Amino acid sequence: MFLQTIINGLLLGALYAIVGMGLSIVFGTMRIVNFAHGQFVMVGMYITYTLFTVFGLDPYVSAIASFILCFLLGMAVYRLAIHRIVRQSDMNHILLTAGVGLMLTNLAQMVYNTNQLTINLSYSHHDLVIGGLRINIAYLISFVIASVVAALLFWFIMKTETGRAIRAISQNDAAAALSGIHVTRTTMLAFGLGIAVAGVAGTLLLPIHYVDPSVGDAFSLLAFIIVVLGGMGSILGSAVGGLLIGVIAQLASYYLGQSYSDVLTYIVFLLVLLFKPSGLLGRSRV
Amino acid sequence: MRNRRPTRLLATLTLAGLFALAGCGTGNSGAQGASGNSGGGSGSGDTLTLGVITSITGADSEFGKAQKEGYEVALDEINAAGGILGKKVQLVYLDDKSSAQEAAKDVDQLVSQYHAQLILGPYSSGSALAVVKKADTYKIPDIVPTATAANVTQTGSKYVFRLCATSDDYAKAICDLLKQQGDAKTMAIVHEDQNFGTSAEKAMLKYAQQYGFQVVDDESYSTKDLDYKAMLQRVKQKHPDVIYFASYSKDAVALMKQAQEIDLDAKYFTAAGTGFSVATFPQDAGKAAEYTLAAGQWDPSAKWQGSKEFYDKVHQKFGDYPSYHDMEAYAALYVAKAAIEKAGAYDAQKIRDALANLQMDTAFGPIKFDSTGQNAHPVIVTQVQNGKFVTVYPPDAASGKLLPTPPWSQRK
Amino acid sequence: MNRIRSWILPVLALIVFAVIPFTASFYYQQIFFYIFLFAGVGFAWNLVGGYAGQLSLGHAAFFGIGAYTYALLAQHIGVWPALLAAAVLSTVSAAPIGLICFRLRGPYFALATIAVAQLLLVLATNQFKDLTQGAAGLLVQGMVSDPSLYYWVALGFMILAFAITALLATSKTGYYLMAIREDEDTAQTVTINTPLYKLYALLVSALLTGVGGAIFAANLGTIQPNDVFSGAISNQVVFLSILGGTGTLFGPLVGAVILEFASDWLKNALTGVAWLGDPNAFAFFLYGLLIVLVVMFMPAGIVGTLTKWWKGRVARVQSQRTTAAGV
Repeated sequence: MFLQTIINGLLLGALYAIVGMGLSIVFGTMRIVNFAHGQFVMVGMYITYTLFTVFGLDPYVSAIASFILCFLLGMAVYRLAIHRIVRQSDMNHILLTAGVGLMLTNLAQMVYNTNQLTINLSYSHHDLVIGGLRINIAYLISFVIASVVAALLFWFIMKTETGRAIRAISQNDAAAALSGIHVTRTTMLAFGLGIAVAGVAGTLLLPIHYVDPSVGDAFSLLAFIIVVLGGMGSILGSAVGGLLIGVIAQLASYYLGQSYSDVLTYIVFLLVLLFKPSGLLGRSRV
Repeated sequence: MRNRRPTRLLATLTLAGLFALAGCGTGNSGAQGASGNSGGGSGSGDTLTLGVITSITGADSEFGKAQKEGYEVALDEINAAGGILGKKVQLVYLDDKSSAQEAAKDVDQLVSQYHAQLILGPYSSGSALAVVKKADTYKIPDIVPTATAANVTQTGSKYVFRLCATSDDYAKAICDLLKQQGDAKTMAIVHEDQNFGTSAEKAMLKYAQQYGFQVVDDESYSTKDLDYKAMLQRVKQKHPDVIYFASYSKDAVALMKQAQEIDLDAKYFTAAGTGFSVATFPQDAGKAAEYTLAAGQWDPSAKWQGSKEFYDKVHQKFGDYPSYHDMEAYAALYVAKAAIEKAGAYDAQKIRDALANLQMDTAFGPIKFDSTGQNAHPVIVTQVQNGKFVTVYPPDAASGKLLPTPPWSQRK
Repeated sequence: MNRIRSWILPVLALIVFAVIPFTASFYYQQIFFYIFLFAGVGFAWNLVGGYAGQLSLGHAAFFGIGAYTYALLAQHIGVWPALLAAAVLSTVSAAPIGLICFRLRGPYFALATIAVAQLLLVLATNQFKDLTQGAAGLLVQGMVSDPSLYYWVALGFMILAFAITALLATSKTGYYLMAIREDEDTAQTVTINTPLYKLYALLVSALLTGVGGAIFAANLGTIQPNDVFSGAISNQVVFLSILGGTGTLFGPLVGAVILEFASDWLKNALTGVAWLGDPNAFAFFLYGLLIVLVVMFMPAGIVGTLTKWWKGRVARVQSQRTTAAGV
């Protein structure tokens, strides 16, 4: 049972990881404290839900649509609002994005009401059984997609021209601007990318969890926990952080009881903030 | 700097525009019932305005909508039959936004702006506690249609009258049924961690002890949790004969599907109504819903006169399949009518006394309130059989026989 | 002269507040109850979030501790001793919370405060169910016999909170706190004991917030963890302070008045407007939009912006006078 719990934890953790990865770009790299991250995950869930119910589109196919729509939404939000205050204090980042989150939540409630919506997939409650260990198929697909997204993201940030520009801005935006990088456009792109990944996370969550307007609230804090745990500015760190939180949550649920998974997550978070503020794989923070 | 000004102007204009739009909309609000401030004199003229508190928005809005459908059907019938005391009845719905704080404020508003002498609602137990407390300070009777938590009628107030059976009654009915079956000894309780689930858990802990069932596991979860398998594995290790769930809709479906997934077997999957007795449960949970037993308040097949007609009317008017939440609201308005007519006037104290001595038959069964304001409503237990709810307990209400629950491995 | 003028507004406000209960309905008295209550808690938050510039998003922790202390003790030790206990316990609880969270800065501080409040919410709901009855809820003993008296309780609380924060803010401590907000490292190098002053502000803030929670619980008559420990409480306090103006004396009151009345007006005006879908959601959508616009265009809040505008006007008038006199 211990091994099974670990496996369940890793499968759940992959979902957490992809929730965290989007924020890793926005907060970890671009230093935009986005308190609306969870709400963008919620938007991704509604996009997927709508495409499924209206067009019968398989949720794993609509991940692409989620990515594109959330990318555009993210860039628009950046250009219209965040851009104006991006050089101001963290406090203003937090308040502004909290306001954006409130707008998104309630817009969703105006359109979809507060009903908890789910999609019924034939495979979301079936397991592969390998050597006595059960692996849920919906989770497994999500795990694979999350890994692919993580790899693509890593490649994009490390190997492409835009990725290098993003990293340059995160280290020193004045110097980056001097060396000919278009700071505003690149930051907007990076923000859009982070939100797009949040949208994909929403898509992957829908087959296993209902969506309602307030579902995003819990994901914002969770995403920050994962980014801080993994280490600022490290996409790989967020992946590891997500997996770790997933395993901790499952072990706590199994050995102590369901409600302890939240208790332990928050305690681990506070301990990391206090004793290892640079996270597991991050650069140390000044 | 130069291009800042237009943006600021634009922002101000947008906001002003939004408020203006909101203002324009006000004109339509009369369609909902009595509009804002004009409804002052509740007893005046030839209309009688009654105040309803329910959850139109927020987490409980699904159930608030069901309640509203029940009230609306009753309102149509009553007005068609000549109203109350010869006056046409109007309902004003105040939204508690699924919060106790707002529900208490609604009582103030009903009393101040509508001179309410009687309050109907709210939906949830959390809100009901606050409403009962508040109504008591004004000495205005409150008819509670749906809130099941035991403590709603335990505040010491003389002004609360509850139609529905309580979480205690649910637990007792399940224990009675299990005792009649005779082959259950151990029990696990799995409940959501908000007001409804926690009240149901407390009630079952009390009755299980009374009936001699050993509670081997007691698990709480949040409906926001992504996954319940770890918790269900804990239950599985204790091998309980009976599992008692207290769940809302989506979590009930997820719990049963995941129980099937991990082969969590029990002789009886039982539940405190709600998620396990909403009309969509058998379809949403599919095969995993089969054989589950749920304590509930009402089924369209009930023998009380008007039950089936009510079901058809709601379905015709709103296209929904009514559950007991609709029915309880429907019956509540009839109870209000009977009480006001018996009192002979729209007066809080007289209505309260009339309610205390009321005895009447409704489509929800006979109504009579005891000294704490509780109506002794019989609880039924339904079982999902071939995708349909069949009443299996008590024997005098049963429309079918209880089927034993086969292990998952032997189901097709 | 100037001193007298600065008293005009508060005295006028007090006169208005004293007259209201004799003219307004019970409903509006309750609306004012919540205005005073949340303005008072807003004043308390303003010490930490406004003057010291430490964005606490977890004040529900102190609000909830105050509420539960009162709810659990009022029947046993009496109403006023229970209120005192609520004040003491919320203050005491602020010490470890402050020691932990103040080791962090910026967004990390804000995140830690949320985590602490969320942790308490989960614990009160599940782990400490024997004590709190979990979400089944506790019945709470009322503070005063007549419900209309809560108006005065809340007004008294707000005046107390205002007096304490105004005294602190205009004293040496207030200047130290503002120095911390502007630049914590510099403040430290000019020998301000920054951890001590931040903790001092938090303790006072927690005390007042805890008393606010107790009054909230007594007026409602029943509480469950979600009513008092939730993020909605924390956020409401922050948002009304931002709207009114952080780090200004009157900001929280102005914010509370606007938000409560807007929310009441929207609730009644929008009911039945079909195309909105959910009128309450639309009200909160506007609320979110308002916050975004305030942060973007009016970061000093209403009071801060007006003060700046007024000072600018006075300065202009004075300079005009001097030039006129010069000519």
